[in-house]
Amino acid sequence: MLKILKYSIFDLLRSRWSYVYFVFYLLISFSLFFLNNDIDKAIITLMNIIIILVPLIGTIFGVMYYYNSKEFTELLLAQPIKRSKIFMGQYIGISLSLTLSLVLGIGIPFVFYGLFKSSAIFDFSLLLLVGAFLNFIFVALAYNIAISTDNKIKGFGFAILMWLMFAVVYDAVFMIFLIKFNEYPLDKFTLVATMANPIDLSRILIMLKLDASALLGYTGAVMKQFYGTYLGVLVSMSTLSFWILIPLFRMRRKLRKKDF
Amino acid sequence: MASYGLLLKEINDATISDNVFEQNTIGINIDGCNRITYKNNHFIRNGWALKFTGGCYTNLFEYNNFMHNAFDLSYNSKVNDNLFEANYWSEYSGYDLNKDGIGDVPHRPVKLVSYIVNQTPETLILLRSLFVDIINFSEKVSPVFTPDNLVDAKPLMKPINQIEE
Repeated sequence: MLKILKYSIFDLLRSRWSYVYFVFYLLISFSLFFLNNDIDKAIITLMNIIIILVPLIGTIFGVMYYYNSKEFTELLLAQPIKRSKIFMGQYIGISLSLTLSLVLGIGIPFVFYGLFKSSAIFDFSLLLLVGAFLNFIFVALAYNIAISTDNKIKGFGFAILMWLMFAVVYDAVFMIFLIKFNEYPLDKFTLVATMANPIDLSRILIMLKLDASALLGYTGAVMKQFYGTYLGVLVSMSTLSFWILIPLFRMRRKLRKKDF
Repeated sequence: MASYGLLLKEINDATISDNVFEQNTIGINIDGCNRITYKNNHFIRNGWALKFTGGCYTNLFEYNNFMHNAFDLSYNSKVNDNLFEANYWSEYSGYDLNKDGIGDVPHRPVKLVSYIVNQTPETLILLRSLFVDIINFSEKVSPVFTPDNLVDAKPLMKPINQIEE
Protein backbone atom coordinates (compact mmCIF):
# COMPACT_ATOMS: atom_id res chain seq x y z
CA MET A 1 0.00 0.00 0.00
CA LEU A 2 2.82 2.38 0.87
CA LYS A 3 4.33 1.90 -2.56
CA ILE A 4 1.06 2.75 -4.27
CA LEU A 5 0.58 5.68 -1.94
CA LYS A 6 4.05 6.88 -2.91
CA TYR A 7 3.35 6.49 -6.63
CA SER A 8 0.03 8.29 -6.49
CA ILE A 9 1.52 11.13 -4.48
CA PHE A 10 4.38 11.53 -6.93
CA ASP A 11 1.95 11.31 -9.81
CA LEU A 12 -0.17 14.06 -8.26
CA LEU A 13 2.82 16.21 -7.40
CA ARG A 14 3.87 16.01 -11.03
CA SER A 15 0.42 16.92 -12.27
CA ARG A 16 -0.64 20.48 -12.85
CA TRP A 17 -3.71 20.42 -10.64
CA SER A 18 -2.15 20.23 -7.19
CA TYR A 19 -0.08 23.27 -8.10
CA VAL A 20 -3.13 25.09 -9.39
CA TYR A 21 -4.89 24.50 -6.06
CA PHE A 22 -1.78 25.42 -4.11
CA VAL A 23 -1.38 28.70 -6.01
CA PHE A 24 -5.10 29.37 -5.73
CA TYR A 25 -5.10 29.04 -1.94
CA LEU A 26 -1.85 30.98 -1.76
CA LEU A 27 -3.19 33.88 -3.81
CA ILE A 28 -6.46 34.08 -1.90
CA SER A 29 -4.89 34.05 1.52
CA PHE A 30 -2.06 36.40 0.57
CA SER A 31 -4.52 38.92 -0.81
CA LEU A 32 -6.71 38.46 2.25
CA PHE A 33 -3.92 39.03 4.72
CA PHE A 34 -2.08 41.81 2.94
CA LEU A 35 -4.74 43.83 1.16
CA ASN A 36 -7.11 43.66 4.07
CA ASN A 37 -5.98 45.25 7.29
CA ASP A 38 -8.88 43.59 9.06
CA ILE A 39 -7.97 40.20 10.53
CA ASP A 40 -11.55 39.45 11.57
CA LYS A 41 -12.80 39.82 8.04
CA ALA A 42 -9.91 37.75 6.69
CA ILE A 43 -10.61 34.84 9.02
CA ILE A 44 -14.33 34.88 8.21
CA THR A 45 -13.62 34.81 4.48
CA LEU A 46 -11.11 32.04 5.04
CA MET A 47 -13.75 30.09 6.92
CA ASN A 48 -16.14 30.44 4.00
CA ILE A 49 -13.44 29.16 1.66
CA ILE A 50 -12.71 26.16 3.82
CA ILE A 51 -16.34 25.28 4.36
CA ILE A 52 -17.51 25.63 0.78
CA LEU A 53 -14.55 25.30 -1.54
CA VAL A 54 -12.61 22.54 0.17
CA PRO A 55 -15.47 20.02 -0.09
CA LEU A 56 -16.17 21.06 -3.68
CA ILE A 57 -12.56 20.74 -4.74
CA GLY A 58 -12.17 17.46 -2.86
CA THR A 59 -15.25 16.01 -4.54
CA ILE A 60 -14.37 17.04 -8.07
CA PHE A 61 -10.73 16.12 -7.73
CA GLY A 62 -11.55 12.71 -6.27
CA VAL A 63 -13.92 11.81 -9.10
CA MET A 64 -11.59 13.24 -11.73
CA TYR A 65 -8.58 11.32 -10.44
CA TYR A 66 -10.45 8.03 -10.33
CA TYR A 67 -11.67 8.27 -13.91
CA ASN A 68 -8.36 9.56 -15.25
CA SER A 69 -6.23 6.89 -13.63
CA LYS A 70 -8.67 4.12 -14.41
CA GLU A 71 -6.49 2.46 -17.05
CA PHE A 72 -3.45 2.46 -14.82
CA THR A 73 -5.56 1.09 -11.98
CA GLU A 74 -6.71 -1.74 -14.20
CA LEU A 75 -3.11 -2.52 -15.00
CA LEU A 76 -2.31 -2.60 -11.30
CA LEU A 77 -5.26 -4.88 -10.66
CA ALA A 78 -3.68 -7.44 -12.97
CA GLN A 79 -0.75 -7.65 -10.55
CA PRO A 80 -0.86 -9.75 -7.40
CA ILE A 81 -1.80 -6.87 -5.13
CA LYS A 82 -4.87 -6.68 -2.92
CA ARG A 83 -7.65 -4.52 -4.37
CA SER A 84 -8.29 -2.66 -1.15
CA LYS A 85 -4.60 -1.78 -0.91
CA ILE A 86 -4.54 -0.24 -4.38
CA PHE A 87 -7.55 1.94 -3.76
CA MET A 88 -6.62 2.87 -0.21
CA GLY A 89 -3.22 3.93 -1.49
CA GLN A 90 -4.78 6.10 -4.17
CA TYR A 91 -7.33 7.56 -1.76
CA ILE A 92 -4.76 8.52 0.85
CA GLY A 93 -2.52 9.88 -1.89
CA ILE A 94 -5.18 12.27 -3.20
CA SER A 95 -6.35 13.37 0.22
CA LEU A 96 -2.80 13.98 1.42
CA SER A 97 -1.79 15.99 -1.63
CA LEU A 98 -4.96 18.12 -1.44
CA THR A 99 -4.43 18.69 2.27
CA LEU A 100 -0.83 19.61 1.56
CA SER A 101 -1.95 22.23 -0.97
CA LEU A 102 -4.43 23.61 1.54
CA VAL A 103 -2.09 23.69 4.52
CA LEU A 104 0.83 25.17 2.58
CA GLY A 105 -1.34 27.54 0.55
CA ILE A 106 -2.96 29.06 3.60
CA GLY A 107 -0.14 28.41 6.05
CA ILE A 108 2.66 30.20 4.19
CA PRO A 109 0.92 33.61 4.10
CA PHE A 110 0.00 33.06 7.71
CA VAL A 111 3.61 32.55 8.71
CA PHE A 112 4.72 35.52 6.61
CA TYR A 113 2.16 37.70 8.27
CA GLY A 114 3.73 36.83 11.60
CA LEU A 115 0.66 35.44 13.26
CA PHE A 116 2.71 32.73 14.89
CA LYS A 117 3.21 34.94 17.87
CA SER A 118 -0.37 36.11 18.03
CA SER A 119 -3.22 34.42 19.82
CA ALA A 120 -4.95 33.61 16.54
CA ILE A 121 -2.70 30.59 16.13
CA PHE A 122 -5.13 28.31 17.95
CA ASP A 123 -8.16 29.36 15.88
CA PHE A 124 -6.07 29.09 12.77
CA SER A 125 -4.89 25.57 13.47
CA LEU A 126 -8.49 24.57 14.13
CA LEU A 127 -9.33 26.04 10.71
CA LEU A 128 -6.63 23.94 9.06
CA LEU A 129 -7.57 20.80 10.98
CA VAL A 130 -11.21 21.13 9.94
CA GLY A 131 -10.09 21.76 6.35
CA ALA A 132 -8.00 18.59 6.40
CA PHE A 133 -10.92 16.58 7.76
CA LEU A 134 -13.23 17.92 5.06
CA ASN A 135 -10.70 17.00 2.39
CA PHE A 136 -10.49 13.42 3.60
CA ILE A 137 -14.27 13.11 3.99
CA PHE A 138 -15.20 14.44 0.59
CA VAL A 139 -12.53 12.59 -1.34
CA ALA A 140 -13.82 9.39 0.32
CA LEU A 141 -17.39 10.21 -0.66
CA ALA A 142 -16.31 11.09 -4.20
CA TYR A 143 -14.42 7.80 -4.53
CA ASN A 144 -17.52 5.97 -3.42
CA ILE A 145 -19.55 7.61 -6.15
CA ALA A 146 -16.90 7.06 -8.79
CA ILE A 147 -16.60 3.36 -7.95
CA SER A 148 -20.36 2.93 -8.02
CA THR A 149 -20.75 4.11 -11.58
CA ASP A 150 -18.58 3.61 -14.65
CA ASN A 151 -20.27 6.38 -16.56
CA LYS A 152 -18.10 9.49 -16.27
CA ILE A 153 -20.88 12.01 -16.80
CA LYS A 154 -23.11 10.25 -14.30
CA GLY A 155 -20.27 10.12 -11.78
CA PHE A 156 -19.55 13.84 -12.04
CA GLY A 157 -23.25 14.63 -11.88
CA PHE A 158 -23.77 12.62 -8.73
CA ALA A 159 -20.64 14.09 -7.14
CA ILE A 160 -21.73 17.68 -7.72
CA LEU A 161 -25.23 16.81 -6.55
CA MET A 162 -23.79 15.32 -3.38
CA TRP A 163 -21.82 18.48 -2.69
CA LEU A 164 -24.91 20.59 -3.32
CA MET A 165 -26.91 18.44 -0.92
CA PHE A 166 -24.42 18.85 1.90
CA ALA A 167 -23.63 22.49 1.29
CA VAL A 168 -27.04 24.00 0.55
CA VAL A 169 -30.05 21.68 0.41
CA TYR A 170 -29.44 20.10 3.80
CA ASP A 171 -29.41 23.49 5.49
CA ALA A 172 -32.55 24.55 3.66
CA VAL A 173 -34.46 21.47 4.76
CA PHE A 174 -33.05 21.83 8.25
CA MET A 175 -34.22 25.43 8.47
CA ILE A 176 -37.73 24.62 7.18
CA PHE A 177 -37.94 21.83 9.72
CA LEU A 178 -36.90 24.15 12.55
CA ILE A 179 -39.47 26.77 11.53
CA LYS A 180 -42.31 24.26 11.15
CA PHE A 181 -41.70 22.51 14.45
CA ASN A 182 -40.70 25.47 16.57
CA GLU A 183 -43.32 24.69 19.23
CA TYR A 184 -41.40 21.59 20.21
CA PRO A 185 -38.14 21.48 22.14
CA LEU A 186 -35.56 21.25 19.40
CA ASP A 187 -32.26 21.45 21.26
CA LYS A 188 -31.39 17.79 21.05
CA PHE A 189 -32.61 17.55 17.48
CA THR A 190 -30.45 20.49 16.44
CA LEU A 191 -27.38 18.90 17.97
CA VAL A 192 -27.98 15.60 16.21
CA ALA A 193 -28.86 17.25 12.89
CA THR A 194 -25.67 19.29 12.87
CA MET A 195 -23.68 16.13 13.55
CA ALA A 196 -25.22 14.45 10.54
CA ASN A 197 -23.62 16.86 8.08
CA PRO A 198 -19.84 17.25 8.09
CA ILE A 199 -20.00 20.74 6.58
CA ASP A 200 -22.41 21.96 9.27
CA LEU A 201 -20.36 20.37 11.99
CA SER A 202 -17.15 22.03 10.82
CA ARG A 203 -18.91 25.35 10.42
CA ILE A 204 -20.19 25.23 13.99
CA LEU A 205 -16.80 24.23 15.37
CA ILE A 206 -15.24 27.29 13.74
CA MET A 207 -18.18 29.57 14.44
CA LEU A 208 -18.04 28.89 18.17
CA LYS A 209 -14.62 30.51 18.09
CA LEU A 210 -15.67 33.49 15.96
CA ASP A 211 -19.25 34.40 16.79
CA ALA A 212 -19.24 33.60 20.47
CA SER A 213 -21.26 36.69 21.29
CA ALA A 214 -24.14 35.94 18.94
CA LEU A 215 -24.30 32.45 20.31
CA LEU A 216 -24.57 33.56 23.91
CA GLY A 217 -28.34 33.68 23.48
CA TYR A 218 -30.10 30.60 24.74
CA THR A 219 -29.77 28.48 21.60
CA GLY A 220 -26.13 29.32 21.63
CA ALA A 221 -25.83 28.42 25.26
CA VAL A 222 -27.00 24.90 24.53
CA MET A 223 -24.51 24.61 21.70
CA LYS A 224 -21.69 26.08 23.68
CA GLN A 225 -22.44 23.82 26.61
CA PHE A 226 -22.02 20.85 24.35
CA TYR A 227 -19.36 21.79 21.80
CA GLY A 228 -17.41 23.98 24.18
CA THR A 229 -16.48 21.14 26.52
CA TYR A 230 -13.82 18.51 26.02
CA LEU A 231 -16.55 15.92 25.59
CA GLY A 232 -18.09 18.00 22.82
CA VAL A 233 -14.80 18.42 21.00
CA LEU A 234 -14.13 14.72 21.39
CA VAL A 235 -17.57 13.76 20.08
CA SER A 236 -17.37 16.12 17.11
CA MET A 237 -13.87 14.99 16.17
CA SER A 238 -14.92 11.35 16.34
CA THR A 239 -18.04 12.13 14.28
CA LEU A 240 -15.79 13.68 11.65
CA SER A 241 -13.61 10.56 11.76
CA PHE A 242 -16.72 8.41 11.31
CA TRP A 243 -17.51 10.45 8.24
CA ILE A 244 -14.19 9.25 6.83
CA LEU A 245 -14.45 5.66 8.03
CA ILE A 246 -17.99 4.84 6.90
CA PRO A 247 -17.46 5.77 3.22
CA LEU A 248 -14.16 3.90 3.28
CA PHE A 249 -15.86 0.84 4.71
CA ARG A 250 -18.53 0.98 2.03
CA MET A 251 -15.84 1.45 -0.61
CA ARG A 252 -14.10 -1.73 0.54
CA ARG A 253 -17.29 -3.73 0.39
CA LYS A 254 -18.16 -2.37 -3.02
CA LEU A 255 -14.67 -3.13 -4.32
CA ARG A 256 -14.86 -6.76 -3.33
CA LYS A 257 -17.76 -7.37 -5.69
CA LYS A 258 -16.91 -4.96 -8.48
CA ASP A 259 -16.16 -6.20 -11.99
CA PHE A 260 -13.38 -4.32 -13.71
CA MET B 1 -18.73 41.97 27.11
CA ALA B 2 -22.10 40.90 28.46
CA SER B 3 -25.43 39.62 27.34
CA TYR B 4 -26.86 43.13 27.07
CA GLY B 5 -24.99 46.37 26.51
CA LEU B 6 -27.90 48.73 27.12
CA LEU B 7 -31.59 48.10 27.69
CA LEU B 8 -33.87 50.98 26.75
CA LYS B 9 -37.56 50.92 27.53
CA GLU B 10 -39.85 53.84 26.82
CA ILE B 11 -37.16 56.44 26.82
CA ASN B 12 -37.95 59.59 24.85
CA ASP B 13 -35.98 62.61 23.68
CA ALA B 14 -32.44 61.67 24.54
CA THR B 15 -29.00 61.51 23.00
CA ILE B 16 -26.78 58.46 23.26
CA SER B 17 -23.30 59.20 22.06
CA ASP B 18 -19.65 58.16 22.21
CA ASN B 19 -20.12 54.66 23.58
CA VAL B 20 -18.35 51.45 22.72
CA PHE B 21 -20.43 48.26 22.68
CA GLU B 22 -18.14 45.32 22.24
CA GLN B 23 -18.95 41.61 22.17
CA ASN B 24 -22.41 41.72 23.68
CA THR B 25 -25.16 39.35 22.72
CA ILE B 26 -27.32 42.44 22.19
CA GLY B 27 -25.65 45.84 22.00
CA ILE B 28 -28.74 47.99 22.58
CA ASN B 29 -32.20 46.56 23.09
CA ILE B 30 -34.68 49.28 22.10
CA ASP B 31 -38.29 48.99 23.22
CA GLY B 32 -40.74 51.80 22.57
CA CYS B 33 -38.25 54.61 22.47
CA ASN B 34 -38.93 57.74 20.47
CA ARG B 35 -36.91 60.67 19.21
CA ILE B 36 -33.53 59.46 20.42
CA THR B 37 -30.35 60.44 18.66
CA TYR B 38 -27.59 57.84 18.52
CA LYS B 39 -24.33 59.37 17.52
CA ASN B 40 -20.69 58.32 17.45
CA ASN B 41 -21.26 54.92 19.00
CA HIS B 42 -19.13 51.92 18.16
CA PHE B 43 -20.76 48.52 17.85
CA ILE B 44 -18.03 45.93 17.56
CA ARG B 45 -18.44 42.18 17.26
CA ASN B 46 -21.85 41.97 18.91
CA GLY B 47 -24.44 39.31 18.24
CA TRP B 48 -27.06 41.94 17.52
CA ALA B 49 -25.85 45.52 17.50
CA LEU B 50 -29.35 46.99 17.71
CA LYS B 51 -32.51 45.09 18.46
CA PHE B 52 -35.86 46.85 18.07
CA THR B 53 -38.59 45.11 20.01
CA GLY B 54 -41.46 47.58 20.04
CA GLY B 55 -42.83 50.61 18.23
CA CYS B 56 -39.93 53.01 17.95
CA TYR B 57 -40.43 56.20 16.00
CA THR B 58 -38.31 59.03 14.66
CA ASN B 59 -35.04 57.86 16.10
CA LEU B 60 -31.94 59.08 14.37
CA PHE B 61 -28.76 57.05 13.91
CA GLU B 62 -25.82 58.93 12.52
CA TYR B 63 -22.05 58.54 12.48
CA ASN B 64 -22.01 55.18 14.23
CA ASN B 65 -19.63 52.34 13.49
CA PHE B 66 -21.14 48.90 12.95
CA MET B 67 -18.25 46.48 12.73
CA HIS B 68 -18.36 42.70 12.42
CA ASN B 69 -21.64 42.17 14.21
CA ALA B 70 -23.42 38.93 13.45
CA PHE B 71 -26.53 41.06 12.88
CA ASP B 72 -26.27 44.83 12.66
CA LEU B 73 -29.95 45.38 13.11
CA SER B 74 -33.03 43.37 13.91
CA TYR B 75 -36.35 45.04 13.23
CA ASN B 76 -39.75 43.59 13.96
CA SER B 77 -42.23 45.74 12.12
CA LYS B 78 -43.00 46.58 8.52
CA VAL B 79 -43.25 50.31 9.11
CA ASN B 80 -40.22 52.39 9.75
CA ASP B 81 -39.65 56.06 10.22
CA ASN B 82 -36.33 55.86 11.97
CA LEU B 83 -33.58 57.49 10.06
CA PHE B 84 -30.17 55.91 9.45
CA GLU B 85 -27.70 58.21 7.89
CA ALA B 86 -23.95 58.36 7.43
CA ASN B 87 -23.02 55.33 9.50
CA TYR B 88 -20.15 53.01 8.76
CA TRP B 89 -21.17 49.39 8.14
CA SER B 90 -18.37 46.87 7.84
CA GLU B 91 -20.65 44.72 5.70
CA TYR B 92 -21.32 47.43 3.16
CA SER B 93 -20.32 46.22 -0.27
CA GLY B 94 -21.03 49.31 -2.38
CA TYR B 95 -18.63 51.66 -4.11
CA ASP B 96 -17.77 55.33 -4.10
CA LEU B 97 -17.14 56.67 -7.60
CA ASN B 98 -16.87 60.37 -6.83
CA LYS B 99 -14.55 59.82 -3.86
CA ASP B 100 -16.48 61.90 -1.36
CA GLY B 101 -16.30 59.21 1.30
CA ILE B 102 -19.99 58.38 0.94
CA GLY B 103 -21.07 55.16 -0.73
CA ASP B 104 -23.12 55.61 -3.89
CA VAL B 105 -25.41 52.66 -3.22
CA PRO B 106 -27.72 52.72 -0.18
CA HIS B 107 -27.05 50.05 2.42
CA ARG B 108 -29.78 47.74 3.79
CA PRO B 109 -28.73 46.76 7.29
CA VAL B 110 -31.54 44.29 8.03
CA LYS B 111 -30.87 40.74 6.93
CA LEU B 112 -33.65 38.35 6.12
CA VAL B 113 -32.17 35.80 8.46
CA SER B 114 -32.56 38.10 11.45
CA TYR B 115 -36.34 37.87 10.88
CA ILE B 116 -36.24 34.12 10.84
CA VAL B 117 -34.01 34.01 13.92
CA ASN B 118 -36.45 36.28 15.77
CA GLN B 119 -39.24 33.81 15.22
CA THR B 120 -37.26 30.59 15.61
CA PRO B 121 -34.14 31.14 17.71
CA GLU B 122 -32.85 27.66 16.92
CA THR B 123 -32.12 28.69 13.35
CA LEU B 124 -29.24 30.71 14.73
CA ILE B 125 -27.23 27.56 14.30
CA LEU B 126 -27.35 27.99 10.52
CA LEU B 127 -25.60 31.35 10.71
CA ARG B 128 -22.87 31.82 8.09
CA SER B 129 -23.86 28.79 6.06
CA LEU B 130 -24.00 29.02 2.30
CA PHE B 131 -27.79 28.69 2.27
CA VAL B 132 -28.21 31.60 4.67
CA ASP B 133 -25.85 33.71 2.58
CA ILE B 134 -27.92 32.93 -0.49
CA ILE B 135 -31.23 33.99 1.02
CA ASN B 136 -29.64 37.10 2.52
CA PHE B 137 -28.33 38.00 -0.88
CA SER B 138 -31.70 37.48 -2.54
CA GLU B 139 -33.35 39.70 0.06
CA LYS B 140 -30.70 42.34 -0.53
CA VAL B 141 -31.35 42.36 -4.26
CA SER B 142 -35.14 42.43 -4.00
CA PRO B 143 -36.38 43.30 -0.51
CA VAL B 144 -39.67 41.65 0.41
CA PHE B 145 -39.66 41.38 4.19
CA THR B 146 -37.63 44.41 5.22
CA PRO B 147 -39.28 47.86 5.18
CA ASP B 148 -38.47 49.63 1.95
CA ASN B 149 -37.19 52.76 3.58
CA LEU B 150 -35.03 51.05 6.20
CA VAL B 151 -31.84 52.00 4.44
CA ASP B 152 -28.76 54.00 5.09
CA ALA B 153 -28.80 56.27 2.07
CA LYS B 154 -25.35 57.68 2.75
CA PRO B 155 -23.19 54.88 4.17
CA LEU B 156 -19.65 55.95 4.95
CA MET B 157 -16.76 54.24 3.20
CA LYS B 158 -14.35 54.54 6.14
CA PRO B 159 -15.01 54.00 9.85
CA ILE B 160 -15.38 57.17 11.87
CA ASN B 161 -12.53 58.22 14.19
CA GLN B 162 -11.16 54.74 14.52
CA ILE B 163 -10.58 53.64 18.08
CA GLU B 164 -7.34 51.96 19.01
CA GLU B 165 -7.63 48.48 20.44
